[in-house]
Amino acid sequence: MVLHSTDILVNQPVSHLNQTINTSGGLLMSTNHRIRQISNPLIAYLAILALALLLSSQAMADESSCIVCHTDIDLLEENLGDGGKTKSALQAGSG
Amino acid sequence: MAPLEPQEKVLVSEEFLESEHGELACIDCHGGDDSSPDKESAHDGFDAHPSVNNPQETCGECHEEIAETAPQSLHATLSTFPGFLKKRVSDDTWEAVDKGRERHCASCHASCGACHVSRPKYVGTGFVNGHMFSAKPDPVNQCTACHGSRVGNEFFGNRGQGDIHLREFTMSCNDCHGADEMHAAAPEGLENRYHLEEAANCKDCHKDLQFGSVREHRIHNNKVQCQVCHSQTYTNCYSCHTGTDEEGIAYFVNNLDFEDMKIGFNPDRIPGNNYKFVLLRHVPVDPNVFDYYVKDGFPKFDVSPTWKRTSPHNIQRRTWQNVTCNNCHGQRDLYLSEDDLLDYEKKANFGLTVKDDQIPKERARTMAINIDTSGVEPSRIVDVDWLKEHLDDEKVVIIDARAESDYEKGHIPGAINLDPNIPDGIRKAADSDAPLQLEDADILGETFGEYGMARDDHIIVYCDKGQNGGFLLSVLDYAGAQNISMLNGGIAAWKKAGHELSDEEPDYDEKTFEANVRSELLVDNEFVKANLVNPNVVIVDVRILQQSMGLLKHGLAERHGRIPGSVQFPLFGLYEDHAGIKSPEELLWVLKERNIPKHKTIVLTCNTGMYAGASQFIFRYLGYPDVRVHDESWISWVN
Repeated sequence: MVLHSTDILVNQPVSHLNQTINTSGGLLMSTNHRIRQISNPLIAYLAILALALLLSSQAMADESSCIVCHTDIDLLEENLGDGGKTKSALQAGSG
Repeated sequence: MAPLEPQEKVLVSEEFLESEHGELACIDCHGGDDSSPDKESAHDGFDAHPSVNNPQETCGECHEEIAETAPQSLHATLSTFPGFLKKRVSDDTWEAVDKGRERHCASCHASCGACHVSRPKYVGTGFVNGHMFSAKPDPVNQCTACHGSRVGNEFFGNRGQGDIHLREFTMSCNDCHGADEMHAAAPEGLENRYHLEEAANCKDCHKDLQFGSVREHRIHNNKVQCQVCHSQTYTNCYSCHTGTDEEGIAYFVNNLDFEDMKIGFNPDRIPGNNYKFVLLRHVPVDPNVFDYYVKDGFPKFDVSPTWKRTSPHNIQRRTWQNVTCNNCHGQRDLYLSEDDLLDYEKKANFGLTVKDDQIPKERARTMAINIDTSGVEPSRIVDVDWLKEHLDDEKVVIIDARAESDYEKGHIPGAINLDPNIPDGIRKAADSDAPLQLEDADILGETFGEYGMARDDHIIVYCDKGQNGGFLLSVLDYAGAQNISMLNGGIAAWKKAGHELSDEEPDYDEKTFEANVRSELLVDNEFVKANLVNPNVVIVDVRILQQSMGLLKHGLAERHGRIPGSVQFPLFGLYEDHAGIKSPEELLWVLKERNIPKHKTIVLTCNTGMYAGASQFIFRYLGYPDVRVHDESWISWVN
């Protein structure tokens, strides 16, 4: 996610925010109120940066590079060895 | 259970990515670097088993209450096991014994992941279903992947008929052993798993039996453990030894295991399980189990019994021992005696054996069982003493139906090896138009002739579990052999009797076996379809319950399932362990009990016809007049 402008968050249509407020109760009312009060560009920038960091750390599993490999059986087969022997042929009987 | 290929073990499914757990970043649980395209650096700091190494900060982030107790659960710690060992060691030997325990006995530790996402370590790990999490563990890939050799085999009918809770009520492991028990922290110093407050108990569901309509419940309630009356025979293990192979991999070997049932005095009377009589199982402990690490590691071996209270998972409502009072009362063989104890364990089991005058007395008047055994053909079974006497008889041909590798390790002198699993000459090839269908009569005749058999020979077949030998005998029967017998107890009985083994292949001449097919012994799909609702025909599915209940399928079958209306009666309800044959009275009673009566046409079906054939031999021995094998069985039905 790339954010270039403080407008995206700070200047969301008030009607949208109010809709959220109206259906979610009083606690969000004050949060929304604070967002609308943000006027300092530096504070706004820091807020966006923090949010972006938060979102990137919570990236869904399917956005990670791990998934590129772990959903492709051919790629896995190319990259994995035989797995190694873990059990002795001598082991026998009920366990 | 066949291990998964390395790539199969770690393949993540699309379904997982769309699931709730898939919304988390991989690195949140596993660490590593998910921005690196390079395998090595991507896995730097990676933890394959976060629920083992860091349960609180991974699973515990959401499942907080569970993560508090589960790491101290019996599944996670096996804490009672070192407790048992500690009783027997000295201060000098504990360290070495514990090292052995850790290397050979601790691979069964189960983490959150081993029950909810992956196969456990004991069977090589790997995702059960593309990393999908399941609140209820998979009974096949998880629970019985570890608890397989006894519990799994008993529950699913690899030994005995299987368990009524599964067959009649489709209950799974966690229906009795729920989350409360599995996640409970085991208190420090817990004596054994039965002492866990949350442990499953029959009476959790079967309440207030003393007030019910069953007279025997009123009489035996709180005196006799439920399983004494409701179990089938179960596995006992002897003489476990440990070591390290040439490649340095640790192993254990149980040198002897066999099916049996012994009632003894309760060694562990506690509230809720304060029975006088319980079932006892021989556990594999041996004074020399850790000799590899320390000699005489158990100077206090006698402080704990080698026969322990057991709760077999092969429950039936009606069993041979609860048919009538005197199937239990007065039955010396059912009760643990001094003679059942080995020299080294006599002191350890003090107080558990039941002396003659302590066995509940036979009742003067009991209900008659009325089993007619007059149709049994006893000549179809021979014992080891008979075979020993007739080894050199001109008309006796002995066939070892085990795999060639087992035959080469030692066989009965003069035995010819013919493994019917190798289809060449007995069944059509697996990749043919009629996979594993029985060969035509002329080919069968040629094959049997090549292996030194003539139709009028007395052909004795043995194996190690029953299915190979029984199947081969059924094919011989179909081809018109006139005198066939199975060696009761197979190679294990021969060894137990102390008779010699040979590693030499015998010289023998080919013979002419003029097949004279008994076509009434074999039916095809058309017959089965035409008789699905015929009240005079009973279709019996003799596969293990995992397959007939649709939890597993044969490799050649396209789908899971079973033939509509078929009765489930696994093959190993007919054979005891190691190809032993149960008494005709018991077999005839149990078949009648399961609505498989003698006067109807019985069609036996399985996956390919092999288990059906092995069952047919026993039914014919019991005198069933019309019993037929469904050729190719499920793989032809479903494909």
